[in-house]
Amino acid sequence: QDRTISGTVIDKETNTGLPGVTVMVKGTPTIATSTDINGAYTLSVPATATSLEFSFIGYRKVERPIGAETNIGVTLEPDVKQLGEVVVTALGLEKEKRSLGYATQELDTEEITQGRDRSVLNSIQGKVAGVQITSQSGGVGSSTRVVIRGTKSFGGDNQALFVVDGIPINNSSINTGDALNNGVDAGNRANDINPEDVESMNILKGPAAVALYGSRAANGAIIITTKKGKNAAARNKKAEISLSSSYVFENVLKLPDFQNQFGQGFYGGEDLRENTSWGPRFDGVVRPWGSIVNNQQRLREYSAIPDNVKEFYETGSVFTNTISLDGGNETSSYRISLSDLKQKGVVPNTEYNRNTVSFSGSTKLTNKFNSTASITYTKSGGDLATSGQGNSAFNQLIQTPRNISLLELRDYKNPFNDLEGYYSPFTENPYWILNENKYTNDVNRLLGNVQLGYDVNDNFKIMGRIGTDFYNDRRFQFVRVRDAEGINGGYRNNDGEIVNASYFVRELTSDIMASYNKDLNEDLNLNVLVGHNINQRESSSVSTAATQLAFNTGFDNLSNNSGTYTSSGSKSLRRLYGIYSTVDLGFRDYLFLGLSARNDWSSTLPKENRSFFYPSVNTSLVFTEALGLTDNNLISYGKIRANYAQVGNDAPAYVIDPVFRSGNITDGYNDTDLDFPFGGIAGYEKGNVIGNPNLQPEITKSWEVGADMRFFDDRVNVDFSYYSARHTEQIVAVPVAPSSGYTAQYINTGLMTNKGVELLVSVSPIRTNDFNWTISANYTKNKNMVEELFGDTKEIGIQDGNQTTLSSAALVARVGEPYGSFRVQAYRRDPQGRIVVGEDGMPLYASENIIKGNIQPDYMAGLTNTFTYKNLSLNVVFDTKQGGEFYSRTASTMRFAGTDPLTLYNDRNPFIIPNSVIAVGDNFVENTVPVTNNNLYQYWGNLPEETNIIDASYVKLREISLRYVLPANLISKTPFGNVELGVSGRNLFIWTPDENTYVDPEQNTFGNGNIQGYDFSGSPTTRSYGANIRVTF
Amino acid sequence: CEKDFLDVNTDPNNPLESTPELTLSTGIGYTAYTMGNQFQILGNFWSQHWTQSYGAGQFRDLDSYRIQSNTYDRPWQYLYSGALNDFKYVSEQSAKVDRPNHAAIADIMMAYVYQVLVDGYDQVPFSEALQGSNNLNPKYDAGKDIYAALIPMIDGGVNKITEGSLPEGGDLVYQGDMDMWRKFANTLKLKIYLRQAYVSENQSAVQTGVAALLTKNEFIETGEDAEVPFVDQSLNRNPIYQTETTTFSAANIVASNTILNYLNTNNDTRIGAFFKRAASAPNAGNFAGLDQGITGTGVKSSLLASSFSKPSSAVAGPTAPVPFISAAESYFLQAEAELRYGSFANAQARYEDGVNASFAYNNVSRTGVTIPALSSSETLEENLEKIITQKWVAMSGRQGFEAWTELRRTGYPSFIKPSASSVLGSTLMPNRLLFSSSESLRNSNTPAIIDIHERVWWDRKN
Repeated sequence: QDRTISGTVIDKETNTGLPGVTVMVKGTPTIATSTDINGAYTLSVPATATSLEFSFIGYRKVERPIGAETNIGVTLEPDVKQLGEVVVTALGLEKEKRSLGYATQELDTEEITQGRDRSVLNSIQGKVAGVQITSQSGGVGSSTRVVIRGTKSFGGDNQALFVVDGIPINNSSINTGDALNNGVDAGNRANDINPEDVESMNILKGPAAVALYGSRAANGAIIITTKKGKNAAARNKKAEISLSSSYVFENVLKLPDFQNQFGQGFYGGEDLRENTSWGPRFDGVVRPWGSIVNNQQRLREYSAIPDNVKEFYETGSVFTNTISLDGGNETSSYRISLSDLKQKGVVPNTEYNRNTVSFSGSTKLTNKFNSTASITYTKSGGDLATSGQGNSAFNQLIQTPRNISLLELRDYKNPFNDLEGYYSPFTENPYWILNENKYTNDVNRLLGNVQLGYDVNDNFKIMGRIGTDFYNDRRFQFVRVRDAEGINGGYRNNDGEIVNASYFVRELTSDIMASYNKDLNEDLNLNVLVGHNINQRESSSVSTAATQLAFNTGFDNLSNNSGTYTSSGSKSLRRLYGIYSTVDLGFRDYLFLGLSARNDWSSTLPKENRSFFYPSVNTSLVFTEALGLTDNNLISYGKIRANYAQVGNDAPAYVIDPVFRSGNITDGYNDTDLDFPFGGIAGYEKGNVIGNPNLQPEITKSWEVGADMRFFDDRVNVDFSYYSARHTEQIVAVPVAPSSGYTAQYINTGLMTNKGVELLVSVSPIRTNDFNWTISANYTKNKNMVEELFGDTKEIGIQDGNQTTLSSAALVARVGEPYGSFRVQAYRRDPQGRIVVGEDGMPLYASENIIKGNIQPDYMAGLTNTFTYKNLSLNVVFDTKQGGEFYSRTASTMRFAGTDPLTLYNDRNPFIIPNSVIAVGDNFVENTVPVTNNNLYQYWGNLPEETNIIDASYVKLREISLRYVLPANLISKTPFGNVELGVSGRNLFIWTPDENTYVDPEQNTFGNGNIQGYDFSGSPTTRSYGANIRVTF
Repeated sequence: CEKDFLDVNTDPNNPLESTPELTLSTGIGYTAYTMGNQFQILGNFWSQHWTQSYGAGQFRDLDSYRIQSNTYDRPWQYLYSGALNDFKYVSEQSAKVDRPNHAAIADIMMAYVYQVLVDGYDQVPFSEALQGSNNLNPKYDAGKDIYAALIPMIDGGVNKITEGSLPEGGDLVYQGDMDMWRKFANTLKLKIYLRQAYVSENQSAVQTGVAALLTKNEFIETGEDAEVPFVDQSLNRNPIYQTETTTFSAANIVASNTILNYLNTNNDTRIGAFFKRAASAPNAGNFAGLDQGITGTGVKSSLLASSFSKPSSAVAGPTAPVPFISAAESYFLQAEAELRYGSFANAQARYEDGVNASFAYNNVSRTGVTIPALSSSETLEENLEKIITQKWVAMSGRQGFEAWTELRRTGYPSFIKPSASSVLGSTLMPNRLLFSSSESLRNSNTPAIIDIHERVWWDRKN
């Protein structure tokens, strides 16, 4: 006897009904039906039927027992191994993933937005193999560094290229010139992208994957595809509106550990003016503290305030709203989105805002023409905090004596807390700094592209595309006059400063390409593409500063000046064009061969050398298909791949010719320069860089092998890559001996190698219709090595533009070491390695600084657990970086200030430095002179820098997100198409090795360039957690 | 078409060409910045005019003679790739564009800088230096060979001087007054000769050279000090002022008791020209210093720099000039020359001139100040000690490097003893600088490090 079964098939991707799904009685193809436009079906089945099969092309087939049910609803999810899984590759070309002979990794919109991070780059931390993503600080709007498969260039940009809808975009970071004293991280421009506008990201890791981009993508590329309008008519709608909101709270992730036994003072005695905690042991007795103002003094119990620093930081927040509208029909579609992000920093008085407006549309003009256009306007910026040894709040906090409450300093105009009344002349009231000084930026950016295609016939297609990306970044800095009198007089006073700066950056890219695709015979497919590319990048800047303010008020116009104005400006223009071609051959959909070649002409190279050519080849074999193993469940899919590629790279602009420079002489400290004109006399010094008319392009050569294997009906997926790359003939500003009359020359030299393994494993231990558990893990090991430098040169310092590191703790590239080793001041040691001390029992320094530690991690790994139960899904991401070191100025400062728990050593009683010796003639004898109470401060304050090199390992609970999708049947009567509610958290916990009691080792104060691994009094990183909702109409 | 499109690589931000006028000024600027900043601090610490105060430690290592090979990378770089390379360009370019006087100044200043380098490092690159990519590993020449080449270098410069063709600009020292440069050249030659006074094998050459100079008698006189004035506007101020006073809040440098005791004992009125009175208790209103190199053991931080005398604004203020050779120094050089190779009466007279020039420069009266007179009944060395001690006083705070160098050469003032925090022990003092790591890392001809207590080639006196 027949009975009727009905139900709805839901598309897991969209949570809407899936039309056209075949519903069939298992084993009886004749008893079958299809779902209607809403995904609903009704089927009459015989009593003998035991189960139903639901299948739809591109989706995983689902089988359900019938039992006594009359209503059977299922959810279908896309089947990733299905033929036709397409990924976006270089130049925006869509290719079948199975045909690629190189590693890529895709992330979908859910993976990108589930943690609700403001930064599209931070959002994928821990989720991608082979990519090191470092968010630089917890400051509002701060930058992120993205390096794929290791550092490749000694002096050039090592960051991935960002490509949005086929157009490379600018990812510059314009930082203040002086990160040591006055650093500001004003973000990197790729963080302007609104994550909610991103449909998918594809990470092209190796040179073979990006060879078509040419020199721009020598460091790998992140291909971002934005959301487009969908064919709403197919879903019986005119348009869809979606609204997404999230509110997250932020607080400081990791603060240093502090000692809580000794308070303000010096040499063991009380001193109410000190910024150090070298005073007496806490005794809880009520005593006066701070300055005497009008014969009054505040009283407080002499005891520790363990949370005084924590109390300083506020709870920050990020409130994000995006509304989008999309629609379309068979021939045209469009999408409009608006977003607003407001961030309030954990550092008082800091904020960041970002607004985006974007439009994209596409249409088929006739049967043969099609066109798309998109434009995005972004306005971003905020009021940022400074870092460094000068005006950074953090620097004041970690020196604050353990018994002083920072909250009590908050009222910085109170006579006890103001410039004159502040307890110490050696530090500043952090609230004064944050309230009276300002650093703002305001970026206005436009990103747009137009594409026109003409399909001559089904095989032959022509496409042209032009895109531009330009922005203006206006910076404003106000440093209030500091004019303390009285007991704080003379300390840290300054004349104030107002700086107005404006930066303009514009990039223009055009591509014209023609492609021909034909099945040569039943087995063989040919795809040929030829193209032409033009790229132009220009920038200009102008900056004016008032250097001695006339009014000591908040009046912040440049006219507030009684001193001189300093001005500077610069511009840069570079052009490149290239022609390229690819030939792809596919044999029976399982064996693929891809060849590519490109020739570039660059303006930055000498005329004779400006043309350079580089080829690549890649191949893949889907052996499960080739061997006819498709129906075997043990190895359900298997592909091996291999490639070889060369990529060329051009030079920085303007390094061919020697120049003269307007004289500027500095001793490395802020504002201590002798800057020409000098007393009205101009001066142009002979530039210190030797020109080089023989520069050649840089070349990277790499090969890679890999496999993509799926086992047990796709329950276990493994993707493995091994790569090896040699980066030679690098264009490096090699330091030369000053006695040559110069300090550097750009030459082709050096060899750096990267070898590595990337592993992606995902396992689905439980996979039922209601409950799924997926574990996916990624592992990255990259071994970077500086193999050769120039001639006899064994070492060069690493710098970013004019920003250098410390002479006592420099970041260097040294032959035989990984890129980014620390060369630091060290203990003098005897041949047995014991510390040599002087006659006073205090350690001596070695006459040469030593190499100790480097910024390269041994390995990185991420672990994601995804649980879904019906409409509920939970995602938990851990990631770790093991190995590598960083330089901690926090450690140095806290030892100097006596706030570091280490300074409790031996209960602050005299001690002989363990295992120390004293030199007697050429011999070393055991040291018997103790470090006494009286020079305890000297000892801890002057430890060699090698003690500030700290293990940078960490494990982070990077992300947790819980999402609930309201059931379709619940909302079918409402105007809503889809409703999702979620809670999420990011960077919730961090685990660090015992020796790192200081800061999050990911934070770096010197911007997102090549100088990494410096904790130099920046803003601490944050954790965030909050709730979100997404609704469609 | 292709040509135009890609021909955009000419630096729009910096000129490809310069002129002798525009580059002479930066060469002189580099020299003044180096002599007036890092080498000023170094010299004033090691000749015990200044010492490190409590409560801050920027120059603690300097006071302990704890110098590393990279400590003076910047001065090394500034003297070679800054000053010398600019002077070389000026000298060569001047010949092409007919600016003989610029070439003359550049040659003379080049000799001045090389002497500083030899005095600091002994062996330095000279004959193969400044050749750019043609020689990136210049050999180090012996100090004595470089010294021998400096006299002809100066003479060559002087010979280029062309009357009536005054420079149009760029001369930050004498504003194109070539008579002054002639005097500077002569005084510099005298200084170069006298540095070799204890080098027995050079005696005849030194004696002949000195005699010729004394006969000619064209030296820097009172009011003719060769110095670079600074300007009280942003980034044009005296570098010590900018670095020490502004950046370090004047928390580091205080008067050394070595000079302060001398000045107090002799009622020397220059004390107020060299130092400020202490601003705060317990020494408020007095001239108070610290013993050289004592580390504030047991002293509380309330005894800060402001409790002691700091360098005066005449010495380290925003407009304080940086002297290359002062009038007083010129007279003291002449006094020593006369004492050694000329007449005692002239020596006495030049000695008095030197003392008077110093008082005049400092705008204070000599009345009541104890200045020991030279005495014909005393030995040369006894009289020389008076000359060099007065020279040492006159150079306080302004010519630290030369004061330290003369201390090394003569051992005077003899009351100077190693700093209390010396890591060289209680008998040794620094006698040279370490080869710069900015050079040794890149120049394979750099000799192995020589300890800082080893003497340079002219330092022969027992």
